[in-house]
Amino acid sequence: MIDPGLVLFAIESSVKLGRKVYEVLVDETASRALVLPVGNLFQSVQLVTAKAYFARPENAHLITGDGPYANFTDAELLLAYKTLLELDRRLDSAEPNQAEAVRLIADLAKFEQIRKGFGPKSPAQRILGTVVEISIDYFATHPEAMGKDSRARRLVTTFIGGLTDTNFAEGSFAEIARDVLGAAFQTLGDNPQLVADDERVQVLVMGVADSLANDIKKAPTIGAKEFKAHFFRRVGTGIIRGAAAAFEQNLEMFLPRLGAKAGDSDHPTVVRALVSETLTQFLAGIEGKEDIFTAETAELLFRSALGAVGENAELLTKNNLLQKFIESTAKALTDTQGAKLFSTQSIIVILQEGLEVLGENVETLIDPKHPEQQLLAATVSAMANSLATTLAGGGNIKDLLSSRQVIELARIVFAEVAAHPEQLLGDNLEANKRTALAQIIASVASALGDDPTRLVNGAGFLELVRIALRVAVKNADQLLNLDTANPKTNLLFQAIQQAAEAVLAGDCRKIVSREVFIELIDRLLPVVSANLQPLLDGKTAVSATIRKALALADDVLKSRINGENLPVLVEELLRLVLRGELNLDEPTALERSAREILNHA
Amino acid sequence: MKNPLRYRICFTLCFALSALLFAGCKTLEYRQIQNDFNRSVEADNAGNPFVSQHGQVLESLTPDYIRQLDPKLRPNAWMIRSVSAWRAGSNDVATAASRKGLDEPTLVAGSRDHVVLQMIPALVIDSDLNRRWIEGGRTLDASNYVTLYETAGFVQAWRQLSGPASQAINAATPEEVVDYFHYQRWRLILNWTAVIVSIKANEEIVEAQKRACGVLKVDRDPMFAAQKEVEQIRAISPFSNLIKAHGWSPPVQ
Repeated sequence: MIDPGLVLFAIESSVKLGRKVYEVLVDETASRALVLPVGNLFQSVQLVTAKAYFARPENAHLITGDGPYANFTDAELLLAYKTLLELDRRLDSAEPNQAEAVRLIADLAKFEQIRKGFGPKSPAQRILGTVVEISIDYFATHPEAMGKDSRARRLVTTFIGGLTDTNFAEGSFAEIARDVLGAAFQTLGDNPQLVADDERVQVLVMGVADSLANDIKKAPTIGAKEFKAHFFRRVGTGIIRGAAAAFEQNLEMFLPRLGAKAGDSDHPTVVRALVSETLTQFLAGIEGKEDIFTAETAELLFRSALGAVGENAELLTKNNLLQKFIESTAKALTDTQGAKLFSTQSIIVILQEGLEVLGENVETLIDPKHPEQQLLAATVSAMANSLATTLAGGGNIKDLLSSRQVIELARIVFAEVAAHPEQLLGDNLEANKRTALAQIIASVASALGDDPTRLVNGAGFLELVRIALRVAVKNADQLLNLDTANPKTNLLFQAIQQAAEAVLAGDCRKIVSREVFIELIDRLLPVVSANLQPLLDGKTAVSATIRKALALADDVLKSRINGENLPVLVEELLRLVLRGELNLDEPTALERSAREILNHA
Repeated sequence: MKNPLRYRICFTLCFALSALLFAGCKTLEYRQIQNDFNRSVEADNAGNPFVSQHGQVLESLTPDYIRQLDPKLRPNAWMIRSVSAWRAGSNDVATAASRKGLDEPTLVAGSRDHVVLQMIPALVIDSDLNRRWIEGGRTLDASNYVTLYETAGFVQAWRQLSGPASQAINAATPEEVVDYFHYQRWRLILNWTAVIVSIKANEEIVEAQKRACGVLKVDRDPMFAAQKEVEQIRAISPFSNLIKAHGWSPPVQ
């Protein structure tokens, strides 16, 4: 018999067990892991972030009113935001809230032209993009330049701050900005000591950019535009460096004053325009001759051009005088005769020398009544012609001169012309072979004969020219015959030639070195100039005097006469002879006079 | 005569087993609904338009059905129903289910279901505004914004999340639920800002954003509030990666 209690207990236990299993099941189900929906985002996170950024109170001016981003689409705003972030990152600004980058962007809004349709494809945006891009390139290779107060960082700031409406109007300015800023980075970025003042940097860099934009804009064809852009890419660093050097050399000039009134000579806009105008005239002046320029030579020349303009801004920039000066001088240096004398390397240096002289002697080299006259260009032509075979004879004086000596000759001549333009060039600039300058140099060159090296070297020739110029300029109408281009009709020629012939024929002891010969000429030319009549009468007093002196040196006064005292002896004997106080055919009188002179020498 | 004891024993046994079997089957069936829910959400999160799947969950998990469930399961069931309704766009159903769930006496304070049920009204508002915003061409004028989107919209949603939902979280709340909570707050801020910056006049955007910053208790722009939420999410959380995948970066100073 089954115990009913036991059966009921078994049943209750089963039910309890089942309930327990059930409770476990329920609990497990209630706490079961479930996946939850993440939900949707209305917009891309970046776009929302960008737009919220621009809607911040401190940035609201960028998107409201006439702000630069007021009419941007979403995509444009996102792009602008990324640009701004990049700009800020590159600026490495010390200010919080990207304030500096935002300020730069806001500065763009100053310009009326960009308010309408200002978008990612607008010139302003392109320029800004280019600025960022070129900056990135620079910073990538110059990480040290990313310092908070680095020159490169300030360059970006000043460049953007200096952009004007004209820059935005010019479609190709983004490319120009790339070239100019790139050149500025390379020159000024690496040399923070150069033009330390940001205001000056701005007028320098932006003045160059303005000019370049203008130059490219004016180019008639796409090819011409490309050529000009390519030229700047090649020499741009030199131009910037040249401008910087000019600024450094002229600290009181090209100094913009922020408080200056519009139109004042030191107003930033005026200074910037001066730099721009100088470069424009410089580029116009060398047009067609760009091939001879390198970055280094462009630097030299532009530095001098700016230096000259800095000293005489109004005069040189008015009527394109600077351009005409460079143009005509470069032409004279490279025309048929010029090319025979001046090497490619020397052309630039002589041009530079000319600019330096022009800058320092504007009052004598530019006639206010005839500002178009290019005296230094005429000087170059006269110089080139005077050393050509037709005037200088067959002695090939040019072969004596190194490039450096040709440059030195130009320097000597420029200085003399700047001091005595009326005497050396006169009024008839076109007939430059008959200018006093051409005749003086040609007289010296041709008088030395077919073998000038027996008497002078290159340096000696330069010295002879210097002496001849000094003497002749004081008595040009007598010493020179400007009615003909033939230098042999000049008394100056005759005096030097007689001296040369006498030395070559009579110097048995070889006491007349090249140095002594130059001193001889130095001493006898003033004497001749002051006592011309015998030469005008066709007498060979100079030659005779030297021959007699050399004869004494080889005979009775052998022990008294040497190269040191020979020039003095000749000078004094010649003075007596030309005055008629001594007859060379009287040996006793001649010897007595000579001894007396030597005793006092 | 039949043995009355045997009869009693058999009857009791059958009754007890039947009751257990019925309840057990219901629970097992409910587990199947949970499985369906998980699949729907996974599809939803993958970006597929699986609204119909959420609808199927809703059809299965009716209020009558929920009442038949074990009382312990009901909060979870209401939560599933409200979430499915939210994702299916049945806003009223979602809100009602949320309310029902919160009224269940077996709801465990601080539990996942508790926190989610408190979040649902805010999430529903967000979805509703999203639908309106898309229908409106993703742009709006200032008056529209103030009337529809601001006070009765995002401000209300934010208060729901900052108040009841936030208060539901306690020491018992799983960390992943806390991550989820902050993720949804981050998302709400982003969506709110997206609507603000879609106002037609920029001047109004600036003003609306200023007001939103006041509600969110930040100074400059709502992204700073969003960043606070991001900072509350554990780095190892999938939500942290999800935020990064959306291209989030801290707002620039």
